[in-house]
Amino acid sequence: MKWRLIELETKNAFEAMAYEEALAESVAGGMNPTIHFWRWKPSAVSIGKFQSMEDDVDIKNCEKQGVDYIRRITGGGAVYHDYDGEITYGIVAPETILSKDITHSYKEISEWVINGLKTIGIDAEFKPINDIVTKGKKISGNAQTRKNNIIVHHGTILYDVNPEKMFSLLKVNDEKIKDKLISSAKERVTSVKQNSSVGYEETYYAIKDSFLRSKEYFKGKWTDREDKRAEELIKTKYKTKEWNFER
Amino acid sequence: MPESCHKVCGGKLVKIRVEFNNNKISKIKITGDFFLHPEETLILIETNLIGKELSECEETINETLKNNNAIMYGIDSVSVSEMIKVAFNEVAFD
Repeated sequence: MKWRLIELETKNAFEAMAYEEALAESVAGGMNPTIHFWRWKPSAVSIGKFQSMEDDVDIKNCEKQGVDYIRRITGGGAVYHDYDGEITYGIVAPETILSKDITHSYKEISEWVINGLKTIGIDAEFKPINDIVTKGKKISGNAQTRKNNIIVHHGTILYDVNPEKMFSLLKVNDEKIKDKLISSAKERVTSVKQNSSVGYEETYYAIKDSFLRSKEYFKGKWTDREDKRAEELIKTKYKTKEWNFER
Repeated sequence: MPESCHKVCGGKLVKIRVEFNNNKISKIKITGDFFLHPEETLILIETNLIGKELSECEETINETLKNNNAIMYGIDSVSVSEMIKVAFNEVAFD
């Protein structure tokens, strides 16, 4: 089956989440499996499906800094998506062409990322459940959900990290340990920039090429139907308090 | 609501807010950075735990998972049940 590629685009948090859900419905209805890339503008914090927005996100600081906040349909933790510091990828495909086994599909998609990083000189490995690490530090995080036998998988490649900014947007129960968390994040998290001299664009091309390796594909666009459905989901779901504050 | 917050084996942070009435769960909310497929199962787990005593929690969670073909990652029925016990003890010794 031919894959559809949607090249790197810029989306705000609400569009990003809405298009992904619209895409899942579209693929369930027969659309080609799709690989798409985006960056977040404005930068945003996304939280996992089971997290609490009020517990985990410093909403006041997000608003002060012009950072959006949103709940994902996937589990996992809170992520700060910096416009300049991250490449986000999404893969939506039937289980039949990836894997029915969840852990296996994480591993399979992570291999695409790992091979892409290799071409820019970064040796990385898959760390279950959902991370990719280089020299023991996280460089990519992933999450997925499944609906109607369709896999919706998304992940981020950290191009540049700023733990100070990240923790200014996330809520830490005990302010006294904030400094400790920042130093610990610096020890646990790394970025392309810290491991390679390649630029943002070059990193994107390397990852994209690796994702498409050995696949038949065509460069596509969102269909009118997907545009329309995403617009609807923005209004009825992703911008609503009911969704973002459901836990 | 009394709560129990714990970094479980596997590194995921789980927070449980729970209220008891006559030693039975009357309200419960489980939050955290774990994974659960299908995601809708969490609401069923919470609903099924209402009215249960501490000794019934683990079995209730396991049954709900089984009946819904659900899998948890980064969290399990044992750690959730343990956390409910911790929250219960906090209330009991308040």
